[in-house]
Amino acid sequence: MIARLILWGSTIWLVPLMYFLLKNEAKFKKNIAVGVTLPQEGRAHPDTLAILSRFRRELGWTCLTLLALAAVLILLPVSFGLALTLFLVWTDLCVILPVVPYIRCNRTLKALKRERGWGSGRRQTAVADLRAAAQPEEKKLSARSFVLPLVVSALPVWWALGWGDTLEGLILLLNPGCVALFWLCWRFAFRRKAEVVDDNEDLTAALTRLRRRAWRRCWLWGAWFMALFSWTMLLTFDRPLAGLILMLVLSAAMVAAMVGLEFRLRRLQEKLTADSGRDYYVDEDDKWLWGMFYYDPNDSRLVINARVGLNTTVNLARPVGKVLMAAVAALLLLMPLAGVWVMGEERAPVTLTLTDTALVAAHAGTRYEIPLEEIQRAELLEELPAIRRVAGTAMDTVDKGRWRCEAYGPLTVCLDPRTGPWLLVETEETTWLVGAGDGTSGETYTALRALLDGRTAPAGQ
Amino acid sequence: MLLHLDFGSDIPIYQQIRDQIVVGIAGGQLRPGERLPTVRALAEESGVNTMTVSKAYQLLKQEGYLRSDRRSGTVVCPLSGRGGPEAATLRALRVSLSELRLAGLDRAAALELCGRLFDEEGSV
Repeated sequence: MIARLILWGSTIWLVPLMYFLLKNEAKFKKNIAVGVTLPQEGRAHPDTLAILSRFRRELGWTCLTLLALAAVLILLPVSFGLALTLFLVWTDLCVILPVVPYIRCNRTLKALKRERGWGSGRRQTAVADLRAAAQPEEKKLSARSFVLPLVVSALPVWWALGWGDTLEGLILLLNPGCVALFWLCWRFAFRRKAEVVDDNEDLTAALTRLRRRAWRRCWLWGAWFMALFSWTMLLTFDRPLAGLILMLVLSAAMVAAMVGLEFRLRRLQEKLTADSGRDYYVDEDDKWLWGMFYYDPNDSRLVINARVGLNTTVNLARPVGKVLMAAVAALLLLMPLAGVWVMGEERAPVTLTLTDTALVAAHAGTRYEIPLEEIQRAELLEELPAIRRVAGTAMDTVDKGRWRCEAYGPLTVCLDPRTGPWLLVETEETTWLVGAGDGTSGETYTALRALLDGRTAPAGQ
Repeated sequence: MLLHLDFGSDIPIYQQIRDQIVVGIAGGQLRPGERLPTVRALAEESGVNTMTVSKAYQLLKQEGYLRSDRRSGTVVCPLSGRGGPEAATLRALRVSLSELRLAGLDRAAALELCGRLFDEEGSV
């Protein structure tokens, strides 16, 4: 139940986040609401206001339904694998369903815009601000800002490798890798297009500066988050639950900071462009499908600024853009398959067999063969020692992969933690902790002993 | 100054960039000595190929509207000191005036139209 509560607790905030982000789209920023650009005349029109009001209502009901569904799913008395599958399907729904009222509203607003003649009528055009493009890169916050988080995130790697925990060290290496990646994303701030809303150059400069600053801040904070994450991982390797809770708290703080940054930028965009859209204004609605997917074959860029806020998207007219979007969609839609896989793992039996040449521990697709001639010592354990996972599977029905134990050091494990006894087998290179899910490890141990004694007796003579 | 590039037009994009920069210089939106973006920066900003921007800049340099400066990059040339109109400009003007005549405009109407366009900023 704790695992389930942590699972849901770590994601339930997705619903209010989607609600507030999408609801915020109904406020005009840069003359755009719900992905449709309208002039001042259209922004205050009663029909527009009615459409936006309906959108907010529909969005509210959709999100409430998702929360009610979550409450039901949390309480369902099903196995962890099935609960995970249902949770992942719900997560997919959280991403997809709130977008439906958005698309409906976008289409209705576009129809109203056409009907009232509020569009500029220009299609296949691009607007570029010469003066903004001529601005030199801002050097106020240099790349040196990333050196400290990089060092802080790399120290635990050095520490873990120093202790001889090679696998832990390699896992921790992901964190400085992320800091380096974030630095590249930070650099990309200088290659973002200027935020042209109308022919007011001062407004363009202000909006561009604000967005670039928010973008840089976002990646610098991300770098520090990875540095703290690295230390949390190092310090809680022995206490997985405490580690998980700390990482969730850290992630929640990071998400809150990022969401705060996004809303602050949106508020500024709204405030600064409140009076825009009276004479000339930029209208690129023809390039945005449903107001959210960018498609412009005339644009050579792949990475595109979202029109509102801090976000980024890809140009679907570019082949790489199509591949990236398809990969994200596939990842999202195939996510529940992970739950199905866990269900399979959960139901597969853990077996322990003794052949003429090896002791074989197997579970689902995993198979560990311990050659008899390599076995130096075997011991039957009536109680499972305290072990912690380094890399592998830890479920109610099976523990497998690379683990660590205070008493026996690094272990390769394949057992059902519910059913003892368990076999501790030592070879020259590896220590194995294995067991049979049907409780026959004792019989296997007796047969193994007999085989080992038969093998060692002649050598002893 | 905003560049408006029309991808549905028959006029090539490099020509549109060149024409609008010329209009910007003539209308005072781009002042002599003012620095223009680098080829890469303008390509990033407008979403067009760097070769297209490079071609427009080359043309403007050949025509004497822009010059490259080792320290400042590409800058607008001073207006003074340039001779009369280019032969190509005169040729294009002659064609345009003929088109106005064929459209039914007499001398006075054509000159009035030219005068109005001359005073107007951003006429491209």
